Amino acid sequence: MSTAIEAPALGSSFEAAAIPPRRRTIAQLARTFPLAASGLIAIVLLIGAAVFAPFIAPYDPASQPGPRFGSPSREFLMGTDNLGRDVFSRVIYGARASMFVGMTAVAIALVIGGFFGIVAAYHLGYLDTAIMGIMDILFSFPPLILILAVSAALGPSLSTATLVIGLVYSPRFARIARGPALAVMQEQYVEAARVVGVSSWRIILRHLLPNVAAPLIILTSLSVSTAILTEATLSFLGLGVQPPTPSWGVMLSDARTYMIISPWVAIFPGAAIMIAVLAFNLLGDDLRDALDPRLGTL
Amino acid sequence: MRRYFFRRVILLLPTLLGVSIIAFLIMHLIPGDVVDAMIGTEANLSEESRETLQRVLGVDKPIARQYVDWLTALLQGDLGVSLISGSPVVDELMRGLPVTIELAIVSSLIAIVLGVPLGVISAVHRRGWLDGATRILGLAGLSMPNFWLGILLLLAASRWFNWSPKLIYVSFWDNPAENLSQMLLPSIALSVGFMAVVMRMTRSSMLEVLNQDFIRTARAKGLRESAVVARHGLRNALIPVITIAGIQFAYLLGGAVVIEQIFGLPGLGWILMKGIMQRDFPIVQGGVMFITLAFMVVNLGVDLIYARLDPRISYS
Repeated sequence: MSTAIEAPALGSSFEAAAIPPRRRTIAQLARTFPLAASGLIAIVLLIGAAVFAPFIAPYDPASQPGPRFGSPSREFLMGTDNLGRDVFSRVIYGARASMFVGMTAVAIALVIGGFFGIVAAYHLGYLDTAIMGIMDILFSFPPLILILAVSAALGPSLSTATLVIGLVYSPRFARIARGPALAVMQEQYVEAARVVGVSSWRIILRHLLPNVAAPLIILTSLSVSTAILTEATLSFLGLGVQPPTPSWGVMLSDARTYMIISPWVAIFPGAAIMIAVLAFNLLGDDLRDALDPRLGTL
Repeated sequence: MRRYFFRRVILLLPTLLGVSIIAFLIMHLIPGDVVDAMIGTEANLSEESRETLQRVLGVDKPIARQYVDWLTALLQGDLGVSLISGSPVVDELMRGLPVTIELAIVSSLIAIVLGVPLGVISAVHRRGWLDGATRILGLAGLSMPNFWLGILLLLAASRWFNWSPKLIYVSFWDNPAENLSQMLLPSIALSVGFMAVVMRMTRSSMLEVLNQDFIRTARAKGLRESAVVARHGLRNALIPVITIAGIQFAYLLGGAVVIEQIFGLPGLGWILMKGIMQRDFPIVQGGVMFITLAFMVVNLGVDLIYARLDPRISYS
């Protein structure tokens, strides 16, 4: 089961390195974790769509090559919208905003939350109380409400959305990192390392970080899915990505006024959001089963 | 229990203070002057009326002073006055509260009534096709954007039933039938993600409980399997489910913004969004504080219920 993560009880990475990990082929892994494999494939495709959008999309997302409200056809796979823009091209380009915000925001949360969580566990006392106190305050807000209000105040844009989502998500990373880090701090090998004068940074990097990696990886995958959902919500409400940048949330919001005439303008962007969110959920779910059975299935 | 309760409430105070500082500061994140942001830069405002406006908003004083004034008023239940309607912010929010709470209650009911049995079925048939199907259903429910579901439901309702949401909200006490028909679709849209969470929690909690020794004992003494599952299994498995359902309920208080927007329901989220769009800062500031307070109260309640239900937790 555990291929990458060493058992914390075994302690030093020296000991774990002595036992060669069982090697498995990708095909075997995919068979053991079919959900994670399908999620990963979807993620690769979505990132591919975002990066290579100009080569995949048949039309410029801002151009108006078709009739207004055209139904899906061979020429326009997902139909056209109220301005005659190709919905398929816009969905492809829309992956850029979603993937960028989702992944960058979670990277910010991981770095900030992970850093402060580990530092809090390492230093305990006042610093711990202060850090976790601030994290608790951030955690007390309903996340969407805080994100909405701050984005509105700062002036909505793609970068604001990314930054705000990242900040609001960081407390959960701090909490998840602090727990296991605290447990490792009690271990004798950490005490030994301290006694012989190993620097704090080295202890944090060599001993704490490897032990908090598994829960952080799981949380990262699951958080990207909610971050994508949050970005879509923000853009839907007009507080995220601003037109004319194509975004799934904005497309869905525009679709509300004329979806009775052309339902496809509401169906495809929503399906794109769902697939992206589902992909990261599938990956995170199986990662949790594989890396940390103690976390349970939530 | 009483001591535990008071301790929890007292421990909440510093967090509350921090929350109030952040809620207060949000308005000050606006680049430039609040007055400029409010009236737009193109409007030509005389220096005199500008100063009057600053005085009315209280932004002519130093920021620390403004915060203390705001907090003092807040403690007396005063969140200021709406810049648009002129009525007290608290009154506006109290009008929205019942709508949001009703929405949260109806969607919680749907989610629990469907989610718990599905989770039990999934756990009892572990690794069977029923389990596989419900697990995929659960993941799909988690991944479904509720506003997309809301839009699809609206689309279906208008296409096939020629139904569209009423523009005017009717309260439950005025016309229960009309009110519930307004609440049904938004509640379904909100309940799907909630149901998925409840279902997954029920499943994993059931799986854990069904592995316990007392379940083996119950089977060994010849109890029917249905009695084992319901009376011995589910009763013990429900404790974490209640906790997670409570947390989800709290999220709904602040998470129904988009659904309220789509269905035109004048709840808390709707009021907050209107405040944001109209640059009605006291509403935004007060709304964030109010919704967060409600969120914290529900979360505290969940913790207390959990401590009460699980005899293993000592609340000394």
